[in-house]
Formats: sequence, structure tokens, C-alpha cells
Amino acid sequence: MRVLLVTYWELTHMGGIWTYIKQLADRLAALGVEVDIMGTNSARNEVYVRNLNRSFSKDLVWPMLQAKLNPTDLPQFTADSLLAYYELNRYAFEMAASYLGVEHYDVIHAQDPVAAVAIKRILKRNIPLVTSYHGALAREAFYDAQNSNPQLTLPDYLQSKRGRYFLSLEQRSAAQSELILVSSHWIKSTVTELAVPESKFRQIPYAIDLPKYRKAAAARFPHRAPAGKKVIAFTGRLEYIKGVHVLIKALASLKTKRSDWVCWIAGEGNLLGELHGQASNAGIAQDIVFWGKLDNIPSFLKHADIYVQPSLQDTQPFSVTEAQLAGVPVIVSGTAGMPEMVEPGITGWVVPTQDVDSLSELLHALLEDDITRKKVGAAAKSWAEQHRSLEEMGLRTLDVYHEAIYRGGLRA
Amino acid sequence: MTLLVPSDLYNRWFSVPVSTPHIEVDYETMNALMQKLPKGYVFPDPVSMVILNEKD
Repeated sequence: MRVLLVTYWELTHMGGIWTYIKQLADRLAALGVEVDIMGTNSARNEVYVRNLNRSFSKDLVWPMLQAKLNPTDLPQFTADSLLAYYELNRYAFEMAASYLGVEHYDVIHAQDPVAAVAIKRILKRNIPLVTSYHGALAREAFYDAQNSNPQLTLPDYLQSKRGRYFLSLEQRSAAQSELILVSSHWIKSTVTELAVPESKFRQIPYAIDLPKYRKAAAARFPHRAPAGKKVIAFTGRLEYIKGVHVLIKALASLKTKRSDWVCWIAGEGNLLGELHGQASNAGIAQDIVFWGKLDNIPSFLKHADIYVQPSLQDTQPFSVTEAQLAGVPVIVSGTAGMPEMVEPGITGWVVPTQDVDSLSELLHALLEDDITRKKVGAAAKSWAEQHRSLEEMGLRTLDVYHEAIYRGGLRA
Repeated sequence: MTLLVPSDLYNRWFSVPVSTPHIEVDYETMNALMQKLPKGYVFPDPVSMVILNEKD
């Protein structure tokens, strides 16, 4: 079987999604599947097939696309520069994918709705399409917009032209896919709201390569927390949707009660400068270490006492699973797919989203209680080891491909 | 290399004449795209245009 894993987005800057793609490709290859991986490299403005070392520069078509889709001839197209940019990029992606070749696969597994719509538009024959919904595109676009306009509400955004545009991409890709892969009930429910039949969904949680994780964890992290301080950790992209600003607010409040902690943040992103500034303004710059991007998260997590995932929206963050596997008790936001990852008080805790006071109070209580932290961390580790097996994820995904081929054949 | 595609097909996709001085047309790429993209392929995408034509 030949399978194409394809994303419209930057391949290696996708955080946990890149981990998913890489692990899935390796696992499928071990099961005898031929897997190619296609995505974007923004730095070089190209679309490429990673494992084949083949690429197509968008510059080859971009000037002509821009000239054709100009404000004089198509004022409606260019009226919203963000949407025009999205569309132009998608057409360039479509041409690139077509040039690189998509017709020789048995199944195409799109990793986002934009790629799914793009691929369907360029296929000459009916190749079964499976689409993974790793996130909710329209809702993520809302949080991006809310970052610069705090008064904006989700219902208003979804009714705006931009909201309708992103929802339509989600809807189209769901309608055109034989099957839809989701990792959580939450993401499934957001897609079923788009009138997608229940029968199309297959739920397979994200897994982790446990032997590889354990090997990485065995390496030494070359730093220690200051004596007498416990480590509150976060790992992930430093973007608004990850809610690190909420964590920093909670830490500022915690600092008024106690100082026996330090916060370690691993990751990079466009909010780094802003978050530094927020910590300085709150008088806790000395209590937070921004480590930047680290190559070995499992080793880093061995030094954590509490892990916090303060995201405003997140489907099933790898970082939470990684913390659970490290035996670190986790606190997650009570929204999107995150509450599905913990059993409150047993394998972790859930706090209301963006509720600074609740998060601060819980951190305060947990720093006080070594026994509970260790008990919950151990239970979470045991749960994650049982429920996040990569072998199972690979086999179940392969079953989905076989089913998609069968369904595609029926439809043809 | 010359552009193999019929000029009307090319013109449906691109408004820029192949001889426009400030835009370089890569003939190998264009020829490959004309062969590989489905016959009915158009842009702008008509489905997106329905939304882009609507009022905000």
C-alpha cells in the first residue's frame, strides 16, 4: 500500500502534530506501508516531499497567481487581505502538490482541512481520502483574532466572513473525505456540528513511541532547580492559544503566597518577547526560565514537580501525555479535548479555562502536598503507558486506510 | 522550450502574457502543470468565491 501523509502547513513547525506524523510514518513503514510525507517549508517558500527530497518552489507560480488575482479585476477576492493570502497560498500549494505527484497513492491522509480541500481539487481519479482533524481551524483562527481584539466573541467571529470561510474549509474537507480521524470526543463534536455524519468518524488517540521516550528520558538534563524550589513546567509553542499568559498571571498571584517554586518553560514562538515582558512587569522574571526549544523533553520533564497545560483550546496535547509518562501530575484547562485526558483527582486536575485564581490556588495546594502529587503522577504514568501505545495507533490507522479504500471503491 | 499548452487554457489560468518582461514564465513547469492538473481545474476556487462575494 502507498500512502501520502500531507499537510498544507509547515511540516516541522507543527509541534505535536509533527510528532504524530513522524511517528505514524515510522510505524506504518514497520507494517510494510510505503509512506511519503508532503508539507510546506516556509523559509524556502516551497512544498516538498520530505522523504524523497523533492520540492516545488511556489515562486514558480506565485507572480502569475498574483497578477491574475489582482484588486482591479477581482476586488472581492482581495478585499480581505488575510483571506486572499490564504487562497493564493492554497492555489500555489495545489499546483505544487500536483507537480510533485499525488496520483499514484492508494490512500491520501490529509492532516488538515486545507490540504484535504486542495488535494481533492487536483485529483484526476478517485483516490480515497482520510482527513485528520487535529484542531478546529475556524476556532483557532478566532483565538488568533482575539489576541488583537479581546472584545471579539466566538459566535460573532464564526458568523463573520472570515469565520464562514474557515468553517467552509472544514465542512468541505469533511464532506469529501471517506473517513475522518479524530483523537478526542471534543474535536469530533466540533466537526459533527458541521452536519458530518457520525458514521464517518474513527477515534484513535495520539500515541507515543514508549521505548524511544524511555531512552530519551534516560539522558541527563544538564540543569537542576535551585535548592528548595519545586519546578512548575510547561512545554509547547509560545502562542496565544497555548495560554502561557494565563499561567504567568497565576504565577504572579502564587508569588504573593509563596516562593518555593520556579517555572520552567520549554518552547519557542511568536509570543516569547511578550511573555518575557509580562513576567517582568509582574515582578516574577527571576522565577521563570524560558529554555527555548529543547531537543529532549522527556529528560527535561524528569525535573518537573507539576505540569500545567493552560491552553485556551487544545485537542489532545502531546505535551500532557509526555508529562504523564514522566510521572508528573498535570493540570489542564477545562476546555476542548483536554479534560478527556485526566480523571480529576486521580490522574490529574482540570481548572476552568483562563481562571487565574483557580489555577493559582491549585498550584498553591499542590506545592504543599508532596504525597498527593506523587500519587497522582504515578497513576497518570500508569494510565498513559496503557492507553497511548504507538503499536495500537499504527494498526488501527492502517485499518482505517483499508476501510477508506473499500468505501472509495464502493463510491466509484 | 516552448509553451505546449493551448493559449486559451493558459490565459484562463494566468492573465499575464508569456512575454511580459517582469514575470518569468518557467515553461517546463507550465507544461508539467497543464498535463498534471485536472482539465476542470480553475482558480479562484468557485466555492470560496461564493463566501468572498458575500457581505461581512
